[in-house]
Formats: sequence, structure tokens, C-alpha cells
Amino acid sequence: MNIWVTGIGVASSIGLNVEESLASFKKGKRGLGEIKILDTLHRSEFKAGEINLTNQQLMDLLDIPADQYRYHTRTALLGMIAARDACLDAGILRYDGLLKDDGISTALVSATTTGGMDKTECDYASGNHGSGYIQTHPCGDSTDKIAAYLGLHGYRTTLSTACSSGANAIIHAARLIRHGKADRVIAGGVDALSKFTLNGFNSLMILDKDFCKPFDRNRKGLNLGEGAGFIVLESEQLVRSRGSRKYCRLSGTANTNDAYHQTASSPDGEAAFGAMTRALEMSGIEAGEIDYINVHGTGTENNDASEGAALVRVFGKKVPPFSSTKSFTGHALGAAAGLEAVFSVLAIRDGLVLPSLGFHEPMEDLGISPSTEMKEGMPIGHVLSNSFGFGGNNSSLIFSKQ
Amino acid sequence: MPVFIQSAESISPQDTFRSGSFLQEAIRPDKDYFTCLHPDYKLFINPGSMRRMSNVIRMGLTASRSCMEKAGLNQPGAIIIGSGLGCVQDTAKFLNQVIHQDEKLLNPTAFIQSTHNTVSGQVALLLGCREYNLTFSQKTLSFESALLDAMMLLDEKEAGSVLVGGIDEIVEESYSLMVLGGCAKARMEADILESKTPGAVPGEGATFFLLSCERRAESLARIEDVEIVNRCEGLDELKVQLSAFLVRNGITEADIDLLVSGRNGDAGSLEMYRGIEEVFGHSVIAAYKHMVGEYDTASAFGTWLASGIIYRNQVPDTILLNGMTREKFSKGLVFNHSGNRDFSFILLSG
Repeated sequence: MNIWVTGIGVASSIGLNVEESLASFKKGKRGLGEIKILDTLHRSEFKAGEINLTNQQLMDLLDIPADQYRYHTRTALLGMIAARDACLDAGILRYDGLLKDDGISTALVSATTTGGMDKTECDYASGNHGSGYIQTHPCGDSTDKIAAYLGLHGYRTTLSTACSSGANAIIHAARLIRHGKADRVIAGGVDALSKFTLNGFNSLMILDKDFCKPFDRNRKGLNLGEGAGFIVLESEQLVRSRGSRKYCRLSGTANTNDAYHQTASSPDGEAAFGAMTRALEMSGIEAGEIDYINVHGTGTENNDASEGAALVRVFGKKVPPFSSTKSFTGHALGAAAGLEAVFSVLAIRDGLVLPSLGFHEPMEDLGISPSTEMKEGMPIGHVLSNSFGFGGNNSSLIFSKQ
Repeated sequence: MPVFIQSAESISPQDTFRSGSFLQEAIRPDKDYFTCLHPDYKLFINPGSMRRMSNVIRMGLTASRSCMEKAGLNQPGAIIIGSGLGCVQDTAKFLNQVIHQDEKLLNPTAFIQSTHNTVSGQVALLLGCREYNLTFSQKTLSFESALLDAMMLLDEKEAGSVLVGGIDEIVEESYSLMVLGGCAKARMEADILESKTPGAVPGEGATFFLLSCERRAESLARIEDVEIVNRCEGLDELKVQLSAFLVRNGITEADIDLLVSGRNGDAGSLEMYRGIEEVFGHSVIAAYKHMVGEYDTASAFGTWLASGIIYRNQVPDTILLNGMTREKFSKGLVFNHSGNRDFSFILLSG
């Protein structure tokens, strides 16, 4: 069964919507910088892709009354913005912002690693245990908040598999459609910056104090980011009956496990190789038909070496043009795969090869280089998007124009 | 495609892990909440690796390994786990470090082990399983989501077998916060299931199933279907959805031999539980949260219980809610909800 992408929505440090994000890519303008909103002692020490709006300002954008503040984590708010935009783009919202009452079974599959931690870490620290953070802490809360905001009463669930979460949300969403559990699914992921993750990654010593350099020989680590990215998926049948605008098909998906180490990836990128290969098998296309790869490319020594090795194993000498958009947005964890799914769809829509910033010299043994220039008007028929996370969790998605 | 439970294992606050007895005795907790009877983990996990592991990881690894051994399989074709709160102990540990050490000189172990998919990642490592591996975290529907994904995966023949689990842990600190937050009782009560006070009595557990599509002599039960009703207007509408679910599966309410009810001691939730129990007055009705407590993935234990009853054609007195009996259990239904939303029905058969 063909599954089509019919709507896209994003919010990240490079733009609060799709068009702003595209403009940032065209201008080569990173969203990375000093941390201004999150109250951390490390604010000047690390670059992060923080959205330059307070929670109050986000709530204003969403028309949420001030007395509802306590019920909304930053994670939920970011998710609401992107999910709403994806639904608007798909033409499935009413004038009042709620989902159209069109009798079409619509589900929501989101993803997050931090859940409500942005609120928990503040209120717990200040002993404000009656603030409601106990209710907003679980991963499922931001998903429920997005569903409520859209007036979605049906099936919703949340994936939480570290950095591959958003891709797994899309995989589960496609499965729901193939099984007729829903005709339409809003799928993606969301995460907000938090002291918990900033300090967590710092304790692992994989943060770059400067701008990250994905796939560069002298890369030093990742920059964290935050945001949300959602795509609307519809069955072939629904697309035909509704006359939905078709961006592209979700033609291949795969999830594999490295079973190598809790956080590090295997040197030969075994699970990454497996994920890409299986996604290609499912899509029915040859490796040589991939026109652009949005790599996981965090800029850590380990990921880029492992992913690079896997790319060479899959594509041989002819690795297609690839880039890490994390060089623009930072690594938004649970949101990453959702953001990058949207960017992959844009690559198909506008014939783009998105650029990778911070790259100067290729890794010694691999000799592959990301595309550093933005290219437009290219014939982009198939895009591969990789997301690899802690716990050896590796996911690949393939989007196809036809 | 039919889905069968080939084996099951549960580490719980009762004597369930590799036990010869099927809930013959009820062990009362010595705290105001339920905590697991922990097996000797050294027999299942390398003592060196075990040292830094929190309970939830030990529980997950051990219950998984035991479940696989019972099924006579080295590796599953996929691993899908549900957990509402993930790794609570390590999350609390790292959070406290961030706060008390002023964001300085932090030890990464607790952070690494705090990610929700730590258990599924560790199980993959333990079993050497490089296949599909997902973790769902949708509050009290975490296990149901995992089960649904597993059933769809098997139906598509993407995997020949799936290790599915529901796991959540409790620590003293999270219990205190639940009490402050109004979702847990501050005191244990003698008769939890009939409690007139708000709040559940929390617990914890790790329950795993090995699912595949062949019926074997040792198969515990068949899982026919899972129904999730996130929001509904009230009991009447829920009953309509329930009827439709049963009809879709070729049966009616009269065909249900066993109802496993998720009554959890919260007075506010009781009406919906009683309302569905009344629909099945002709069936044997069992409850289990007075034995294992309430936690996001408790319905995995409810499913373990239902499959155990169906397999043995026997209902332990400790969990029997009404006075009914049955010679044979052909159809069982596990019913759960949370605060009058997120309703789930899991249909099993013999």
C-alpha cells in the first residue's frame, strides 16, 4: 500500500515554520548560538539550537490563556506549534484550529526523550511539588496535549528510543495505516532543551563548545538543539478520495539494533548498514537511485565514523550527496528525526540538496565529504534520512517523489 | 494472523517469577506501596555488569531472559517494550546530581541509564539481538501500544517472533511525589479494591511475553485483539465501543468467560470499573492491583494473569472478585483505564 506525505510542519532554532527554515538553509544561517532562555550555568560555554522564545511567548503564539501555563511544558508547546502547522499544511484543520470533522480516522504518533523534564527539573528543584509537574513529566503528556490542542480524540502514542525516536514514530504510524487502524496519522517528534540533557551530554564529553563539524576530520562533538517536526501521512485511498496534495511517498522504513554498547555505535556501523539496506529493500529501489541523504551526522567522533563506514558499505564509491542539517539546528534528540523528515520532504518538493556547515576536511580513512553548498532545482526522486540513537537504536526512512 | 503467547514471565510483588504456585498466597507489602520480590539476579546477569544497574534494568533483563528460556529460543525476531516512566531511579539520581552539584562534574552512568529505551537496549545486548527494537511510553497505554505494534509486525511477517514487555519501577522518592501529586494514597488500606478514598496504591513490575503465530501445545493463550479507546463521553458510550470490539472479533459479551478488571483502589475510577464488571456479571471476574499495585504497565501483569488462568483453567482465590466459577476458560478480557480516559481491552482466548 502506498503511504503519502500530505503535510509538513516544523519549529526549530532555524525557523518557526517551513518557509523560515528553508530561508535559513538558503542563507547558510545557523540556529546555533549562546543559550539565552534555559537557565543553565553552562549558557556561555556551549552552542545550542535554542528557539529564542520564552514559554510565555510560545503560549501567546498558540493563543493559550496565561492561566493554563502550569499545564504546559515547553516540549508540549513546541509540539503543538509544529503539529498544528503540519495539519494546516495538509488542509485538515477547521477555521477554529481543530481537526475537521470529516469522519476520517486520524491518529497521532509522537516521540520525545525528555518529555516534561524542562518543567520537572525547575519545579522539583524549587520544591514546588504541587505545580502539576508530576502530571506533565511522562513522555505521553506532550502527545496528549498536542492531541487536545488539535481536537484529536483518537489513538495517540509516543515513542521514546533516544535519537531515533521520531523515525520510529513514523514507522509505527505507517504500520497503523497499512493495518487500517487509522487512515491518516500525524507523526513526528518533539524535545525541548533542558539542564538534564545538556548536563547529561556534557558528562559524556561529547558536546562541542564551538559549532559542530559533522563528518569533519577534526569534529569534536555535537551541539544540542530543540524543536518539533511532524508530517501528515495518508493512505493511498484517502489521498485519492480527499484529493490531498501529495508531497511524496514514505517508500521505505527500517529499524535495527547494534547490540554493541549502550551508547557507542559499532565501528563498522553494522546496525546503520542494516537499517539503510532494509529500508532500500522495502522501498524496492537500488542504492544508486538515492539522490540525497540527510545523515544523522551529529558531529561526534563515534557517530560520524560509524555512519560514514556504513554509508561506504551501502553505496560503495558512489555515496550520493549528503548533509547533516544538525549543523544548522543542532541535535534536537526526540525531534531530530521529525525535523529531518520534513527537510527530506522539502528536498523532494523543491529539488534540493541541503547544505552541511562546519565541514572542512574529510575523515582520513573514508574520504567522503558532505555537500557544503545549497543546491536547488536538482532532480531529487528519492531521499534517505538516517537517525541513530543510544541503546543501539538505528532507523532509516526513505521518501520517494512518485 | 493469529498471535500466540508461547511463554511469559513476570517479576512482581508476588511470588510469580519461575514459581510453582499460581498466586496461591497473597503477600502483603510492608510499605504503603508494592515493591517487587526480586530474584537472585546474579544467576541471570553477569555480576560485573550488574553492579551499576538499577532495579528496572535488572528486572527487565531477567524477566526477558527467563521468558526466552521458557520459549526455548535464543533470540526473538523483535523486541518491543512499553514503559510509562522509564528508568525512574537513574532519572532521579541524575536530576539530583544536576541540582546538588550545581551542574558540575557529573557522572554519566545515571544519565546513560535514564533513557527510556535503556531496558530494550540492554535486552538486545544481552540476547545479541540486532533486530527491530522499539520502546513506547504513553502513560497507561504503553504496554497496549507495544502489543499493538507487535501484533501488526507479526501480521506483516516482518518478524517470526516478538518479545513484548511492560515494565515500570517505583522508588521511595517517586512514591512521595505521587502522594503529593494526588495520584497515590498516603497509606496502604486493608481492602484496596473497595476503597472510598482517592488515589491508587502504586506498585511496579516487569512482565514479558514471547509472541509468535504458531499454536503449540505449550502456548499459554492466543491474543486475539487489542482495543484502545482514548476518550469517550461516559460508560454508555464505552459499552457501545466494547460491543463493537467484541462483534468485530466474532463474539458477544455472553461469550466472555473471564474479565480481568484493573480496579486500582482509586475511588474516582471505580464507577467505570464497576460499570464494565456489571456487563460481565455472568463471567468470572478477577482483579490484580490489590496484589501488585498500580503502575503504567500493570495491564501487562493483567494479561499475564489472564493467560495463566486460560492455560490452567484455574482461578486463584486471591484474585477472584466475584463468586463465579468456570470449568473451562475460552475467552478472557483484560480491561483497564486511567482516570476515566485511556480505556483498553485486550481479548485473549484458549
